[in-house]
Amino acid sequence: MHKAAVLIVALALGGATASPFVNPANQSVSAPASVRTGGTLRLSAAGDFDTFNPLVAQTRPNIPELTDAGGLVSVDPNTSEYVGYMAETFSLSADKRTYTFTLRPELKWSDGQAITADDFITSFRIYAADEDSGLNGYMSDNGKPLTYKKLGALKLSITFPRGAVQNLETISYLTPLPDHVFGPAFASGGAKAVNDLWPINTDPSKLVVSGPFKVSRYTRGERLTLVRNPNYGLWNKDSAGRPTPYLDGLQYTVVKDANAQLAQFLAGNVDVYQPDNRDKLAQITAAKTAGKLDVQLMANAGPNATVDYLYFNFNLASSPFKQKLFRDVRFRQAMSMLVNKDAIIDQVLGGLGVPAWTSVYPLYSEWVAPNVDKYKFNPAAAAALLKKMGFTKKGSDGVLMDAKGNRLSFTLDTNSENNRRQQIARLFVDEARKVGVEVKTNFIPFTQLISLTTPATAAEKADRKFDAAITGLSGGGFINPVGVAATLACGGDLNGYDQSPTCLQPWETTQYNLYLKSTTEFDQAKRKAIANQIQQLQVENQGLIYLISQNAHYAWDSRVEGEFPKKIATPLWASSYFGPRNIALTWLSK
Amino acid sequence: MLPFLLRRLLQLIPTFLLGTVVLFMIVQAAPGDFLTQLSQNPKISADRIDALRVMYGLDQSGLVQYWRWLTHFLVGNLGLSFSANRPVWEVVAPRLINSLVLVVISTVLTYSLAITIGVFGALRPYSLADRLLSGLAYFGLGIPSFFFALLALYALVVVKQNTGWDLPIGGKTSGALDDPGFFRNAWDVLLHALIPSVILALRGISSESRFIRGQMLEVLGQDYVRTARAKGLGSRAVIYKHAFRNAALPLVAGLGALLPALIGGAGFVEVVFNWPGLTPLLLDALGTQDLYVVVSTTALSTLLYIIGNVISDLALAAVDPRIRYS
Repeated sequence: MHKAAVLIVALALGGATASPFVNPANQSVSAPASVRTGGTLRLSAAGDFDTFNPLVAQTRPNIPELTDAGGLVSVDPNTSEYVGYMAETFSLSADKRTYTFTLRPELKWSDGQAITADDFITSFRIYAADEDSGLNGYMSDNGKPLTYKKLGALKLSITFPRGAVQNLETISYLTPLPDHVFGPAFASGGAKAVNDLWPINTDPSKLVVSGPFKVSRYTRGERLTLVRNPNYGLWNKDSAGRPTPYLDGLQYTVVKDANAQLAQFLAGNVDVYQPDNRDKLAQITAAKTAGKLDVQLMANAGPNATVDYLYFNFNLASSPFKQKLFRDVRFRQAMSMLVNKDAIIDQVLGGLGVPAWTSVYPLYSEWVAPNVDKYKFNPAAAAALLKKMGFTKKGSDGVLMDAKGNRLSFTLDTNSENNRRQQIARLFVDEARKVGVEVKTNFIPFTQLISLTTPATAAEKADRKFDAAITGLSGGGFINPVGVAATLACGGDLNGYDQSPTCLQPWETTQYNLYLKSTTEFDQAKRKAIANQIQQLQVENQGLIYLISQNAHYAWDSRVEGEFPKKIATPLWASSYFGPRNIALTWLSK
Repeated sequence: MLPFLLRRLLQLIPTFLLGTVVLFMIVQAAPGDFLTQLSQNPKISADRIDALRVMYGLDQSGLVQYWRWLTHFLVGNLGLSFSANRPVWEVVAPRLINSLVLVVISTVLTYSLAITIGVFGALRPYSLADRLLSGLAYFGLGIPSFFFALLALYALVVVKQNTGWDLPIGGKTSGALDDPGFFRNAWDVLLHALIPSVILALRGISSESRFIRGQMLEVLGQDYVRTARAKGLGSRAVIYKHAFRNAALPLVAGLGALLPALIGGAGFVEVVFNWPGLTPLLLDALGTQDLYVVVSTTALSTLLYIIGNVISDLALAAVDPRIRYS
């Protein structure tokens, strides 16, 4: 009797602690009762896939991202907070450096094996050791490594060198690898052996994944077919307790040409599509209004998490006049006042974009500091500033000259594959000519442009062979949207204006120090205040002259249901693969 | 004949070497290399890129790289594709076969239709039908094939939207088919190949039909044709047995270019119609500076071009009794 009571209590407790992850109902416009399961979602990919191996996959989209569920935590778009995903619960230590996670007991790989703390520990070891892996950079902070400890079969802790606000974000990126496949390979052959696992010609039935779908068939250059992973539904449910995903599978067709991609969507062969310019949007709208295409269209859902910017080269040792000119803050302020962002948005983007002023994407509107448009379009003020700098005479060709006879002329580079940036460049050339600044344009292939702006050796970095360039940036997190170290550090890999390892001007040092301070500020209000200070520096000094952010548009076939409610259907939470929806809660009505 | 053959084959060697040297130099002359794009990824350290540079042999001088590539090429090792991390032949072979499907169908279409139209145009010159066909031919010559393909794509989408008639507008196979049998799959591939092949053929038909028409007109005006008619020979025998055989001599000479065209892929039509052929692969390789894919494939087609020329010279000698090689 006593034993039976204990058993019953134990069973009850066991039942009570069985807690799969629940996809909340507020992430879908459809109530679980109205949902139908089955069907295959059809998508198109602009490029081919390169491998099944999560460590070395480089393309976008890539297969491991489609077949991996995620990591220990994920973001709830409705609250912007991190919640436990593979972890049932987690806690933060008092010094804010150590996170402790308890995993859900129901976690399973697609081959039936349980996902345990061992999988995570082995994965961390591999990520730290494998320099080819995309996640290798996350395993250390400023050179100091993360440490981790297994505390039990389903319990582990991760300790960071600094208590930074991005730590949870970092953890959310660290997806586990199956220990029973990658562990032995790593033990015997190290990083090279794990990188060689699962090449593209592997039999898909041998792959072990955690996500909602697993690869069923892949024909190179043609088609990728994924089917539902039944083991995912053991630990991922909807709010009514049913297993997810609702879909039977996904099908990716490789369509390289942008026109052909649009044609596939217009012909009804593809279910989800993101038109990226006004022309494509107009064609879809026309087909929809004429009743020829049954689609849902969400135009101007918000600005994308991307930005284009223009910058001048601080490291031009071979031309002392130009180097001095570009390093002069007044020159950059004048140039900023020659950029007509309204005209750019109107003519280049067809009105479908917003101006950008700082390193905070316009998407994060709450983080953009006040009065950032201090140096907005004002050709008269630009001309006055240039005159104050000493460019008082105009030559016979209308180009400004200083007292020594130096002409105010430079070359603006951008990549030849990008029409938008070329049009922006031409608009800038026109405005500059009106005040007497001669700007020549040079459109070159992307790889060539990059080899000019971010060369390899220190000697080349001191004398980079370009005057000005327009490039851009995309991606980044929402925790600290002011930027990443690569853009804000002097000599950082993504720093376009200053590639010298030591900061040339005091404001650059201040900017980077403020950034480091912001990463350890857990109070969001205070973090925003620091971000405002950083942005004021950027506005005043115009290291990067920010230009515009394009708007995002989403289109999908009407048979695809279960998208995000309007409140969270923004580019901030939309998936780059599937648009504004949680793929686990997506269902097909036809 | 044999000394001629030997001489041509010996000439092949310096031509091929010169061609490949120039090719290699041009590809190397482009700034940066395959690893330049990796350098933009902040997660890949500079040390890693240096290690990759040594592994791919990109740190050696151009001469060393060329010699290494040449010695491998001659024994059949076409090198390594950097993007796919697999031997070039493994990456290129399936694409070659796919392109072959399109090229074979379009070549058959081209020659059968071009000859018919050309001969017809020569037999009834300046008639209404001839003028119409000539006009269409000039149209076809003026429009680039990829633009034609885009127009066709647009037309197909409009047809689909208005009539619901589902013509395949891209790809090699239908996604909806699940494990089809061999014949079902072959039929599916044929349907998908039809429209790209027709568009490819259109350009060929335009140029070849004009050419054949001109040649036929010239031959039909010759004395021996008049003699044959005077002797009472039937019209069919005159046209096809005598006139066309002579008119087609330059055509035979041009057949040599068919061999490299077979592996040259079908150009931008493949890109627009999403056909997994050789051209999209080459375009990608050019963009990422995947050195050995570009160089080996082009060297292959250079080789085939030279061989094709020899074959067409031989074919010419076989067809034209006036030509004898010593």
